Parts: sequence; C-alpha cells; structure tokens
Amino acid sequence: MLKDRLKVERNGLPSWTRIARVVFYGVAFLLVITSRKPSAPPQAYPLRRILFGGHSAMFKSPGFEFGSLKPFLPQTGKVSFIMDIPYDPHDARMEPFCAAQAHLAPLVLTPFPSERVAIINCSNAAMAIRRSHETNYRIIQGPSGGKAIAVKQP
Amino acid sequence: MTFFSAFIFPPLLGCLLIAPFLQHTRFPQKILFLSAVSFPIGYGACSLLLFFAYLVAPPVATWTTLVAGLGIMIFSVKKLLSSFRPTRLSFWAKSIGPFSLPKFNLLPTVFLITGFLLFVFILIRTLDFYSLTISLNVFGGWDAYYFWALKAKFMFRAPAEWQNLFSPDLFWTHPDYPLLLPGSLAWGWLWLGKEAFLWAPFLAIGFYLSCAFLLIWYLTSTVSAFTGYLGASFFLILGPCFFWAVHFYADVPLSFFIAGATLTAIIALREKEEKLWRVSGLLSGLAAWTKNEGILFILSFSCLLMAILFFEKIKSKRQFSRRLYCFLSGAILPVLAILILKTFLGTTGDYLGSGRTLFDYLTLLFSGWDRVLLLLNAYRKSVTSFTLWRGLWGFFLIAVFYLGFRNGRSRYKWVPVGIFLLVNLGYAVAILTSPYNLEWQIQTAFERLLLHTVPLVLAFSFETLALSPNHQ
Repeated sequence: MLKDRLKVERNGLPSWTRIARVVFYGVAFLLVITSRKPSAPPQAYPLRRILFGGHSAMFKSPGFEFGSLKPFLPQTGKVSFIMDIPYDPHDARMEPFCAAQAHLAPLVLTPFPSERVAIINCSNAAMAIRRSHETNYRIIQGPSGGKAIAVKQP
Repeated sequence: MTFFSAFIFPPLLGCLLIAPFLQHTRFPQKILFLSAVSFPIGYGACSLLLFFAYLVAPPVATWTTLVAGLGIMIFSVKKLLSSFRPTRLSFWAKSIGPFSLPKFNLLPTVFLITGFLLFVFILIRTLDFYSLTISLNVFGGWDAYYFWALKAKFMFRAPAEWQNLFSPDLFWTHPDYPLLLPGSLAWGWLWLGKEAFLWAPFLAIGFYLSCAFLLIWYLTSTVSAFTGYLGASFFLILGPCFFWAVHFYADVPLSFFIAGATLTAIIALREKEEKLWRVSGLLSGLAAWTKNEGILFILSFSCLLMAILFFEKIKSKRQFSRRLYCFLSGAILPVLAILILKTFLGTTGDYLGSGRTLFDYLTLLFSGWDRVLLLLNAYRKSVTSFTLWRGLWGFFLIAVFYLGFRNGRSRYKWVPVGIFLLVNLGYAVAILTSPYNLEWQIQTAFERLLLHTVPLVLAFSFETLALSPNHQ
C-alpha cells in the first residue's frame, strides 16, 4: 500500500510523470524567457516615428520612379517593357520590370516587344535608343535617364 | 470613423459568423476561441464576399460586400437571440476561462499570473520589434509586394477590369494563386478609399497574433491557462514565424487556418458535436482560399477525417453522412471560389494547367535518390536548427514517441501528427515534381512549407508533454 502510494500521486499520476511535467514546463519556460530578439538598426527608430506619425510620403514604394511616365501612358490595356537585355525570369536585373508593373497597375506590362506602345527602361539614353531600334520602336517621349515612351513602327 | 470601422467590421463579421455554430454546444472556452478566430475568419469572409461581388457586379462590389456582410451579421444576431436561453448564461460565464476560478487555490493562481505576465511581456516585445522592422521595409517581401499587393491593386484601381490580374501576360505573378490576402488588402483599401500602406502590416500582425490566441484557446481548454500562455509565448519567440509575418507572406495565415481547422475538428470529435464540423470545414476552406498549399491540406484533411469517421463507432450511416455534410457545407463557399478561379480565371499554373503529363511528373519524382536525399537533408538541417526553432521539433519528437508509448489513439491526440505527415509528404512530392530547380526551391520555400504546420505541432507537443492528469 505504502509502495503504491509512493508511486502514485494524489492526482492519479505516477511520480515520474510529475517529474517529467516539471522538466517540460521548466525547459519551455527557460527557452521563452532566455530568448532574445535581434537588435534593430538605429535608423529604425526615427523611421518608426515618421511612419506612425502619418508622414507616409517619406516612404516610396518600389517602382515609384515610373510615376513620371504615367501621363504619357494609357490608363488600362497592355504595354511592352523593354530593358537592356531581353527578358529572363531568372535574372535579378528584371526587378525594375516587376516594380514598374506594381506601380503602373492596372496597366498590364509585357516583357516582350509585342505591343503598340512600349516603356523603354535602359541604363542610359544611348542604350535606350539602341534597344528601341533593335525592337522596332520609335521613341516619342524621352529618353530621360534611360527611360522613354516609344511606339511600334509599322 | 471610416478608419476605425475598417478595423472593426471584419472581426465583428467573423465573430457573428461563428457564434451561432458554438451556441448550445459543449465547445470549451468559447470567448477565447472567438477572440482567436474572429479576425482571420472575418477577413477571409470579406475577401470571399468581395470576390463573388466582383464576379457579379464589379462597379458596385464595395456596396454589395458591405450589404452582404451586414446581412450576415443581422441574420446571425437574430439566430443567436432566437435560440437564446437564459439558463445557458452560467455556461457562457464559465467559458470566460482563465479568469473564472471556482475556488481560490494559491499554486494554480501563481502559475496563471506568471504565465499571463510572461505572455504580456513577450507580446509587448514582439509588437515593439515588429513596428521597428516594418519601418525599415513597410512594403514587405517579394511575394507580398509583387504578388499579393499587385493583385489587390488590380481589384482596387480598376474594379471594372479587375480580371486583368489573371492575364497570361502576368504569368510571373502566378495568376492561379488564391485571393484571400489580395481580397483582404483590396477590401481595406476600398473601405478607406486609398491604398493605405499600413494595411498590409496590420493584416500580417493580425494573423500572426491570431495564431498565438489560437494556442491560448486550445491549450487552456485541454490542459491549463498557464500552458496556453506558455505555448503562445513560445510561438511568438520562433524566428521563422516572425520573419515571414513581418514580410507579409501568406504562410502565417495559412498556418493559422491549418491549425484552426485541425484543432476544431479534434474538439468536434471529442465532444461529439456535429455543428462544430461546420467551423472546421470553414477554416479548412479558408486554408485553400489562402494558398495553393491549402488545397493540398484540405484534400489530406478530408481523407483523414473520412477515415476517422469511417472507423469511428458511429451508430448509423446517417450520422456519418451528417458529419460529412456539416464539414462540406462549412467549406463550400471558399472551395467554390477556388473552383471558379482555377477553372475560369487563373487557368495556368505550375502544376494544374501547366500542360505537363502524368509521365512528366513520375519522371521528375523518380529521377534519382540524390534529389530525395537532398530534400531529406534539408528537413534534417532545418528541424535541428536551435536558432530557428528553439527546440520545437525536439519537443515534437518526444511527444510523438510518448504518444506511441501511451497508446495515443485516445482522445484523437494523434490527428495533428497525421496532418503533419500527410501535408509534408504532399509538399515533398510537390517539391520533387516542381518545374523549378530543387536547390532553389529548398532555399526559397522550404522553411515556409515547414512553418505551415508549426502552430499545430506546437499545440500537439504542449498538450501531450504537459501530461495533464485529465487526458492520460
């Protein structure tokens, strides 16, 4: 009887179970309490004040530089997007194309020179002119800083 | 007022949508459960309403959504009041949970206060770090900005031409992806009348904290309030969960719905309450409406549930079909939305609509053991990383062994293990048959795939290892 009493606690659990519980809770508690968040860079603090202070104009979304082209583009429909190199989905240099799409939606951008109107986004003006010739487009606006609007030549 | 109501309307809708299904059931800790699921279900419902409204009448979609939402709320309130019985008041009072102590007992009270304070401390620290991190990148990661927010922009900026988001020219944005996050984003923007860029961080933190509240509810119901707070705190310190939440990816919302659906089903099985199957069905459907991986989950989950119900000692065939009907009726709207999207709108994808034959898949699947070993090695490396998971997978392994040793068939404790195995087996097959490079897939997506079952694994591990005397 006494042996059984020693084995089984008042709540019906064998004593080893109770020890295991304490170990589990202790380990989990220690893991939580000893965890550390990585320290944020110093510039995060003033940025947070600006963000939650309602000064949202400070934060520029990716592709905002294409905003200057908006007045020369149709509201909706499809437009080609020409870059220094032909489209390659695995090339990191394609990000400006994605950023332009995100900024200019609901306009649909296609990375192929198939549409009547095209946005030319090259590293410089000379490259923009060269790529427009290669893809059979005529520049009608720009090039300014390698960015231009062009139309397909007949 | 507009800003305030945009925050309040969806959680209120979520709460009123679920409350009638919990009324007059033995569902434990109802208020804690509602506090956990109101936000995700509310935004899920808003995104679904917006999707159907856009299908029917895009120019008046915002008003249609609002009217439909209000209609659901009025209907739910009416239903709640019509079957309200004053005698049940005590039951609801009890369900407040950790704050209703039947008699004063020093040790549990000390534990309860310690757990609560620990959770509050971790929560404040998490919110502080979250606000700092989003200040450095308020637009989120690649998927968040170039997939989810882009789709939302099509819905917000040109409602009449919203279907352009499925254009084959936008193949790189995955036109076949489900629309819970884009719909929730667009819904908020439409309500506020502008593309408020703090809306995405708000949604992300809402889903992230809902996971923690879900753990509080489940562990409080099954073990103790202290375990609930400890489990939720443990979730908040996990690096990958925070990282993907702060980048506004859809993986944390998916992990919420996977855990929510499974844990609700376990309670439905334990309490033998038919109505709860609808809640589980709705949460499963919303998982499918969040990400393509959610479709894999709902298929695995349905198969597992059918097997459980089949082998259960169910009195009649009618009872079996009744439970199945409840589950399916809960999931019907999100699943219908997915079917419409996959069949008529986003018809091209990496798997469905990719034009690949069964032979192509089998060739990729059995193209060599080295690929399988690479994947297994990725699993090993990830789960043994203490920096990432703080020993979670160690707890999980011990809990699985303990469950096997103690005959875990009791009280359906093994269901999360089954879901973990089925879902990850499905992911392994999907990665091996993916059109993308395997190493690149492992590098970019593997951790997120593992994350999908983390809240569920945590709930299971803590429930099992807490060795509660009630559940031996």
